[in-house]
Amino acid sequence: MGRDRRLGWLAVLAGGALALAIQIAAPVGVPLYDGVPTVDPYRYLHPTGTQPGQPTAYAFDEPVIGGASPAFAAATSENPPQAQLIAQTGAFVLTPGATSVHVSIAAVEPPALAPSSGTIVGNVYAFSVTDQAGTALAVAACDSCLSLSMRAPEGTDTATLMQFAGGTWSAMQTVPVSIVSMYQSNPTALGDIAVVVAGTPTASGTPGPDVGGSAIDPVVIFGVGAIVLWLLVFGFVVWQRVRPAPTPAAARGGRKGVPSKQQPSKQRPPRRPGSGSDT
Amino acid sequence: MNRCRFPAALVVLAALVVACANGATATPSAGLASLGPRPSSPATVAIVSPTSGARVTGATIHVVLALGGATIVQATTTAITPTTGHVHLYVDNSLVSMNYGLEQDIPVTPGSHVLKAEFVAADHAPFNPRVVSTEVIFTVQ
Repeated sequence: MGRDRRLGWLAVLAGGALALAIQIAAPVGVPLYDGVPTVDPYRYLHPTGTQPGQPTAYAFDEPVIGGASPAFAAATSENPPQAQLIAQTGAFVLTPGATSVHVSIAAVEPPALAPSSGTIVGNVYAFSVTDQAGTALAVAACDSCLSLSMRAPEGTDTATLMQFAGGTWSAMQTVPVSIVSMYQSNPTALGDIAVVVAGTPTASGTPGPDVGGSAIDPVVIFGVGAIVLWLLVFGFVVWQRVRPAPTPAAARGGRKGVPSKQQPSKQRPPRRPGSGSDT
Repeated sequence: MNRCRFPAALVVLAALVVACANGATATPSAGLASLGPRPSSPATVAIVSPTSGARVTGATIHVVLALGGATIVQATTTAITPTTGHVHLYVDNSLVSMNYGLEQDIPVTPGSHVLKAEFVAADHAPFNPRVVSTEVIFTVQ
């Protein structure tokens, strides 16, 4: 096998090893069902850089049937939804004369006061259920009849749903669900709710998940390291290719009368003109 | 010729790294758009159990489906037909199961949930119009 071929295989193997190492260090999200991707990127109310914006909202009127608040499944339009509220029949206490309930979910400006126990990731969503006159409906005292779930931006791990009410943030009992960063709670009241992770804002000032006290994402560190390694291998291989071949002893010459101590080359000497069987 | 091999290998290496890095950011619109026009299907799918308003206990819920006008095939292929495919189950609008039968246990958490089923083609992509069941809202206590 020639040197170039060996170098080619070396580069291919290095690439495979690099891809494997990256996958181990920062695994790509779980592949879904033969590669059919089903997760939209998170949409931010205030995107920065290349982040997608314009999060969707939900608003709908449900008629009251049988004197109880209706069952409904309200969700924003992302896939999966970034915020949703699912109510069983009777999940809300109706006001006298209520004929319909108005359900709305929308991303809103975060309160000026940040949670003291962590950092908001993604959008703050306002969840509202009112009667036709706009009067807020209280959540009924029922067992699991109302569920609220919110999705966090990709890569969010341990997080808690927190509600802003009365000028303070309070944690809600939170259960992580689904394979994406989705968090569910069974709320006893609605309002402004956000996904909060433990930690502080990143050096850029934008909220980010806790990365163990470091302001730099470990994936970035690993990526830079991989590129440096790649460049080193590239430089070595280029150096191997461009360095001059060993000069033959005859070309180097020697002092007249002094026999060369160079061992005879194992290379076949050039054919003499007229010699051989090809004439 | 030989001089081209190493740059070519580097291109392969770069492609591997880039593909690895971009794998998590693909969007569904890009994936489905590449599938081209989708056929319609005469199939209907419905959720037999749980029923809307059901209250259940436990960490899983037993889902029973009814499929009409089509049959379930396990093969994953791009040679699709309107009457063959399988069912995708969604809980709270998240895909949780690729179902090659009409009954399955799905893990659930306490609370109210919405269940939806969709009959999709053998390439996992939806028909046009989509063949979707009525949503069922149930509660896990």
